[in-house]
Amino acid sequence: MRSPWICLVSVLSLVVLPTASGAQESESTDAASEADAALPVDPTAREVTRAPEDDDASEDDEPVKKAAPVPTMERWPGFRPLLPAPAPRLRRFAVTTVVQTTYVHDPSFDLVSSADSSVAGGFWLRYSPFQPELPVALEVGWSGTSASAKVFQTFDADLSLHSFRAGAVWLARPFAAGRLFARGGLLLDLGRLSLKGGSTLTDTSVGGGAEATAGWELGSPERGFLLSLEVGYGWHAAKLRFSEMSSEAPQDKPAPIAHRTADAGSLDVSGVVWRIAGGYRF
Amino acid sequence: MAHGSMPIPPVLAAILALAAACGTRDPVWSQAPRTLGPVSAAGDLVWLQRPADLLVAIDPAAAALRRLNIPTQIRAVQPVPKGVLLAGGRGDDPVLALVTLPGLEMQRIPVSGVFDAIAVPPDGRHAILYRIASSPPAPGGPPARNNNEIAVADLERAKTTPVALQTESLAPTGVVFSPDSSTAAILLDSAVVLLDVADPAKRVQVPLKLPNGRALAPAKALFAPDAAYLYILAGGSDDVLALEVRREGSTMDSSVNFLFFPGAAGPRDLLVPAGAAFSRFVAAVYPSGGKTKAVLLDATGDAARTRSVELGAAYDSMADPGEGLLLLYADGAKGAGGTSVAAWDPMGGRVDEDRLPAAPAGAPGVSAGLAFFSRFRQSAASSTITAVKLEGDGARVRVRLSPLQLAGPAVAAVVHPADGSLFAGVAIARDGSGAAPLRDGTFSGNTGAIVSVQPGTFAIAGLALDAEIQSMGVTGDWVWAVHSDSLGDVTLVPRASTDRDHALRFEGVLAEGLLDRDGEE
Repeated sequence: MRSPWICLVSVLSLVVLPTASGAQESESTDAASEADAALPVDPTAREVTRAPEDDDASEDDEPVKKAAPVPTMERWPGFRPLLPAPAPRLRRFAVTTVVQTTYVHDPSFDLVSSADSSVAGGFWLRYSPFQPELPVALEVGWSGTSASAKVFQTFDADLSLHSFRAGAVWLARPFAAGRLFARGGLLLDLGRLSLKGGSTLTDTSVGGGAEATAGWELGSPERGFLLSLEVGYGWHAAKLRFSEMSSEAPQDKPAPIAHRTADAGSLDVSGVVWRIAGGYRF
Repeated sequence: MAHGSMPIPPVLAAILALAAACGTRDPVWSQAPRTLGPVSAAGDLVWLQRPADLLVAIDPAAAALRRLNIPTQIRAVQPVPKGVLLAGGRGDDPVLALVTLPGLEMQRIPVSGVFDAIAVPPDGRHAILYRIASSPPAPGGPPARNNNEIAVADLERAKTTPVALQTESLAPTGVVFSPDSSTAAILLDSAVVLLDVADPAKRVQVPLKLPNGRALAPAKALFAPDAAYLYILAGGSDDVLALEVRREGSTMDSSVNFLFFPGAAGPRDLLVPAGAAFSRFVAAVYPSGGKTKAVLLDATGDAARTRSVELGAAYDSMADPGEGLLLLYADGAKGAGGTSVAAWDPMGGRVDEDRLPAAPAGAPGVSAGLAFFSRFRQSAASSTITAVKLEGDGARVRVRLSPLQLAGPAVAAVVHPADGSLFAGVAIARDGSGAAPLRDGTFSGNTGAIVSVQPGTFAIAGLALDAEIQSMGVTGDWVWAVHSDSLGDVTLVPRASTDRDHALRFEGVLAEGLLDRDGEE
C-alpha cells in the first residue's frame, strides 16, 4: 500500500509542480497586465487620443496605442479624477489538492501498516473574507487514507480513515519567494477497521482532535496557482475506538445465534504531519 | 524568482517519500500464529494470543469477553482452581504467573528459570514446572540449559522451589500425580523421580535401566489411589513395573517390582480400576495373535492374587466406566483397531464380548456405567454414536450396545463430568437445519450441530449452530464449540438447554485487544 502512494507523491512533485511553476510564469504576464490596468489612468484621456478612424483599426494597433505617450492630464490645471481607480483583483477562494504524510507514533498502528506512517490525499477549500485588511483565511477540507497489512500470517487488517477538517490559516506578508503561513484546525475522523480471517469483522469509529502546522507558500496572493509545503502536528485526542468488531451477518430467518462482539481496542492516529498542497485561487 | 531552475519539487518529493517510508513494523505482527487454548478454567474459556501477548477469557455466565496483557514469551497455560497458571518468559525475565478468573488479576510468582510445561495435581494447590526436550532455550538467556532442573510451586504461598533431578536423562517427558495430590512422578526417558509435592526435598530417583544398559522409557504411568505404588508401562518391556513409594521420616524411598503374567508379552495398556477392592491391583492387556490376555496384577508381585482372562479378539485399550467392570476395546488411533468390545469383571472372572458397527477412531467418552463411541474409522459408520453399557449381576456380565443415528458425521464429542451426558459435534447440511444463512444469504454447505445424549434414558436433544465445529469442550455449566476461523470463533451453549436463544457466539476472540496490547516498540 505504501509504494503506490510514494510514487504518487513523487510524480506529483516532479511533474505537476514544475508545470505549476511554468504556469506561474505565464500568469505573471497577466498579473503584470492587471497591475498596469490598476494604474490610476483617467479614462477620459483615452477618448482624447482616440481618433474616429481608430474604430476600424485591428487589435494589432493596440500596443501602439498603449505605447503612445500618456497625456499628462495631471499636469492640466485644476485636474480632478472623475472615477475612482479600480482595486487590485482579490482572489478570495482557493481549492487545493493535498498530499500528506503522518508519522503515527501509536505502536498499534503496526496492526494495519508495515510502516509507521500513513499517506493521505485530499481536497481543501479556502475562503478569504477579510482580505486585504486581515490576512486570515477560513478552510474546510477532507483527506482520506487507507492501510493494510497481514497479521500473524493468518488474517488481514485494513484501515480506512477519512478526516474532515475546519480551520483557519494566517498568511504572513509576502516576500520575493512566497510567504510563510500558520494553520490550525479541528479534525473529525471517521475510521473503519476490517479484520479478514475466516470471517470479516468490521467496526466504524469516530474520533477527532486538532492540528497545527506552519509552512511556506509559493506564489503571491494575486496569482492563481499556489504551492505550499508545511509541517506540524496532528493531535487526535479522541482516539478511534473499535470496540464492536463484528461480522455483518444477515438477519434473515432463522436469525443467527446472538453475537458478542470483540473489542479490538483504540487507535491513536496522532503524529507529525508533512504536507504538500497545490491549488488554484479564484 | 527563477522558477525555471527551481530545485524544490524533487526536494519536497524526497521529504515526503522519506516520511512515508519511515518507521518499521514491530516484528511480532509478522510472526506465525502461536495461540494456546482454549482452556477451560474456573468456568471460563481462556485463550493465549501469544504473538500479541494477550490473554482472552470468555465468561459465559456474564456473556463477557475480557482480556489481559501478559508477559511475553509465555510457553504454557494450565488451569488451576482459581484461574490459570502461565509459565515461560524471556531468559532474563522468567515468568510464573497466576491469573485469577473471572477478575483477570495477575500475580507474579518468583521462579528460577523459564519452563516449558506445567503439571497441576488434582487439588490444584501446587504445580510442577518442567522443561521439554523439543523446546529451545528462551531468548534473552544462555543458549543452553539444564532440563533436569524443575521447579515446584506452592500456589497458596506464591513461592517456588527449584529442584535438581540429576538424572541421566535429557529432559522430563511428563508428570503424573497421585489421586490424593501428595506425590508426583516425573517421568524421564530412563528414570522416574518420585517427589513429595509439599516437600520437594523428599524425593527419590529410580533409574529405569536394565543390566545391559537398555533404558526402559515410561510410556504410561499411573498411581495407586493411595499413592503407595506407581505402575509403569515401559516401552520394550513385557513386565509392568510397580514402584513402591515409601515415606520414612524426611526421606522417600522406592523399590521396583516387575509384574508379569506367564506367557503374556507386550502389554499395551494399563488401568488402575476404581474401588477399594482394587487398591493393590493394576490391570493390563496383552493382545497377541488376534486374542488378548487381560490380567489383573498384584502390585506386590503375589502371583496367587493375579486374575486373568483370555478374550477372543485383540484389545489394546481399556476404560473404567465404574461398578467394577472394565471395558476393553481396540483403539483405531493406536493401531489397526477392531470392532470388538468386551466387558470384564476382573474379580468375578466373567466376560462378555460384542461388536461395534465399526472400529473406533479414538477413546470413548466415559461416564457412569457408560462409554460413548462417537468417532469411527469407517466413514459409513461415522454418522452414528454407540453407547456401550456394561451390566453385571451375580451370574454374568453383559455388553449392551445402543446405537444412535446422527444426521451427519461426528467431528468431536465430550462428556460433561457433572451428569455424564454426552455432547457430540456433528456436521450437517445447513439448508433446513435451523441454522442461520451464510453471509451471502444462502444455505449452501454444512454447518455444525450439537447433539446431547442423556446417559440414563438416551434422551436426545439437538441444537444447530451457525458454523461448522472444529473442537468441543465443557467449562462450568457450558459446552463450547470452536469454529474454524483464524480470528477465533466459538459458540457456547448452556448444558441444560439446547435452545438457540440461549446460545452465545463470540466472534473475533483472538482480535480482542489487538490495538491495546503492551510491550510494543
